[in-house]
Amino acid sequence: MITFISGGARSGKSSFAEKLAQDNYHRQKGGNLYYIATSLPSDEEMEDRIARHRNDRGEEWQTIEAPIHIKDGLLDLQKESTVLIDCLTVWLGNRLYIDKADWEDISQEVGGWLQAARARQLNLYLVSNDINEGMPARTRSVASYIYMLEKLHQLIISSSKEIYQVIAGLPVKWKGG
Amino acid sequence: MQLVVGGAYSGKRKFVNREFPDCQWLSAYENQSLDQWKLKFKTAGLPVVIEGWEVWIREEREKAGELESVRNHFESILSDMHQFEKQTCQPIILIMLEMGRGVVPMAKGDRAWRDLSGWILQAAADKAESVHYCWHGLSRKLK
Repeated sequence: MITFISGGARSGKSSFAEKLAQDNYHRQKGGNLYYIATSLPSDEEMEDRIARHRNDRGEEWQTIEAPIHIKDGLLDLQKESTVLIDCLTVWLGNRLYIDKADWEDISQEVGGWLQAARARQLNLYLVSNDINEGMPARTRSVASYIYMLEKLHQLIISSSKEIYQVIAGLPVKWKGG
Repeated sequence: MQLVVGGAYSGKRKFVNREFPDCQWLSAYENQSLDQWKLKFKTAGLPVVIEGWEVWIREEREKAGELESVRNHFESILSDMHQFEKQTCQPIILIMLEMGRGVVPMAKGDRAWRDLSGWILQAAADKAESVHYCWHGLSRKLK
């Protein structure tokens, strides 16, 4: 089952998604609880932040660092596991600007996550960011980043059973739940 | 009058095409001018979709400069459209961009552009019988 969660910066979307995933894991009999971290530890400050986040999440979580490739890792997970991917915006940035991937590769990879979730009966929670409601993009590269992100959101949403927009820590339900 | 609002690439056009499959379009993205809006009502009965407001707002602000006069200009166009729709029974659908949710822009001109777009969006929502908000390809009726 796929759940999509999005919202503005500091809207509480990550905490909400973690809680949803953790509750699901406690209800679920099989599988493990995984956190797929997409950030690259670029400097000391970032490393500290990552370490702090990891501590905050508690011992139940197993963290997988996957800033670029996620699909193959998902296929290796134990069946019926609960998996949280946080977040799509960082991952897309990594794919575009570090990995220099094109749209074809990117959309195939995300399609692969959805397929893997079905194949392994995973409970997949995907977190993203609403970044398309600010000032229109000034440059072609920013516009195309936002365009791709919106396409990915729509692709994920079309396979999602539950969809939430988080505003000020409160979930607004768009579908299911 | 009906309003469809949402962020960039949020599925506004897709929503309109689904709800109103047969429409006449006036679009700033096709370099069409808003002054031409009445000319778009060629085929009686067919709804008219008007999109790209933020482009027209930016152009008008660059021309006029004065915030209040730009705001009044667009509000009076919206009133005219509202009247015209009542008289002709020809539906008007406005597509507007939500662009107010980022950080405050550094440049004064951008702040003015963003303020005006927000005010004009509110005026449109006030006059519209229905307002739909699009979010990542989904839509929700707000009014």
